[in-house]
Amino acid sequence: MLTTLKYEFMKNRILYAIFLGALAILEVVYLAMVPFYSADSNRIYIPIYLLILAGVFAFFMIFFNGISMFSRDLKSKSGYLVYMTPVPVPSILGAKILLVFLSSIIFGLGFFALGLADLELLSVVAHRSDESLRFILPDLIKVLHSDHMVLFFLKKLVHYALSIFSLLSTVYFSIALSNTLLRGKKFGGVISFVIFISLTLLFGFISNALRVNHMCQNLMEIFFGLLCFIGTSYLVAKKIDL
Amino acid sequence: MSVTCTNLTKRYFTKTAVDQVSMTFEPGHIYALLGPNGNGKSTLMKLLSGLTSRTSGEITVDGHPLSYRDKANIAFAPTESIFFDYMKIRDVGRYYQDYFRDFDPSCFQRLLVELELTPDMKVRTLSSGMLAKLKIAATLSRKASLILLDEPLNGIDLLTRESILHTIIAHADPSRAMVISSHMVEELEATVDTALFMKEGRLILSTDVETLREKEGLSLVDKYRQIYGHGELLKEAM
Repeated sequence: MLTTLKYEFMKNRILYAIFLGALAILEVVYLAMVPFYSADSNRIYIPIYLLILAGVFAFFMIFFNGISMFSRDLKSKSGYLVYMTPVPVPSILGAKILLVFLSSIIFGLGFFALGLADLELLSVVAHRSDESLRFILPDLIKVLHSDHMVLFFLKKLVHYALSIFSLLSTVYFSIALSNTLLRGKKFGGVISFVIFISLTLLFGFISNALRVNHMCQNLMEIFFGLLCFIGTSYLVAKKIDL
Repeated sequence: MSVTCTNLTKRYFTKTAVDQVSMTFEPGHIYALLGPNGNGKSTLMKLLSGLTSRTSGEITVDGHPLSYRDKANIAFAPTESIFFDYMKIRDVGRYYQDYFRDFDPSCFQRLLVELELTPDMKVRTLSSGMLAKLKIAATLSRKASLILLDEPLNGIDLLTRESILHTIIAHADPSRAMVISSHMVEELEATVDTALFMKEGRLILSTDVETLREKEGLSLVDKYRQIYGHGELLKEAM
């Protein structure tokens, strides 16, 4: 799985470099403007807004890219290189999901740390403590200073991992369905999209019904994710036509 | 390792691409998979390499059903470019080395020199002849038991074709079976020992090339002409 993870990363490295480059440029613009901060001007907020916008865009692009890479492998000839290897399909799928999880986590944490530093810098330069993170996200600051910080982040991380696994497995299942059993069929794409929406609604409905019990909710998420993951693995391993 | 197809069939909706093919690929042989376009040669190769699912029939490797593990012993060079855009020739070698235990990096280096390819070249900038050479170099650097080469001579000039055929012959050995599909029947004549003729997805004839010459007094080209007729040959030429 690690080898596949490595090559999935290599395929995406230019995209990641573009994101990081764009964020670095905006950060430099922000840092260049900080010394010229004036209470009468709002110009300093422009790079901040752009940074937030670019960060959110990049975060979503990591997901979309994870989805489109799977789809492309089933449609283009470069998929041969992936599926002619003696690697079991679940391992290939796992590597794709793991890459989205890891890159989004690393990117998200990096972006959060950068935002934290930028806000603190602004609060110092502007002599305005209300620009500081502790005023913007007071609950988070409380957690950061509490004894349960590690547990809190661990829980969030597990929940995030489960959500990613469940969401991507559902999307992959629909794509695999559209490229195998429904391939070339009239309205095959539409049918697979409808299946995706129906599955998402069904999972959402059951998950909401179990909202009172987080453990049950997590278990359901694992169950649905696994179901779609196994379904996708079966379709790709047994019904693929590259 | 011997690979056997039994009543192997692949259907795409109403079209039957491979129809009831039964055949065993034995080590030590070089097979020519012959037939005009659209007669199921590429589909058969994709079935054997596990890239396409069968509709019915079965493929067994030494008696057990073909699984992903067998891909470690089957090397396939499709006719299309399969490499990732970012790759340089060096990266292709690394990729094969990472995934296939039977890949021999020193053999790959040697073949690159022989085929006049340099590791720094970017795959997306290669000409079709260079790409064909790269596919051959990567595939033949594996010590796989079954080597599948789909149209390795397609769209390539005479000198490159000769150099590719020379490389293929040099890598034939008693422990591996090679299957080569091609339209260049004449050029395969001296390379292969068994010819498989496919028509409309069916394997209509499997014959030893030497026997064909001795018993029927026919070359591969003659037999090809006999089976597919002049019309098919004209279509091929066009």
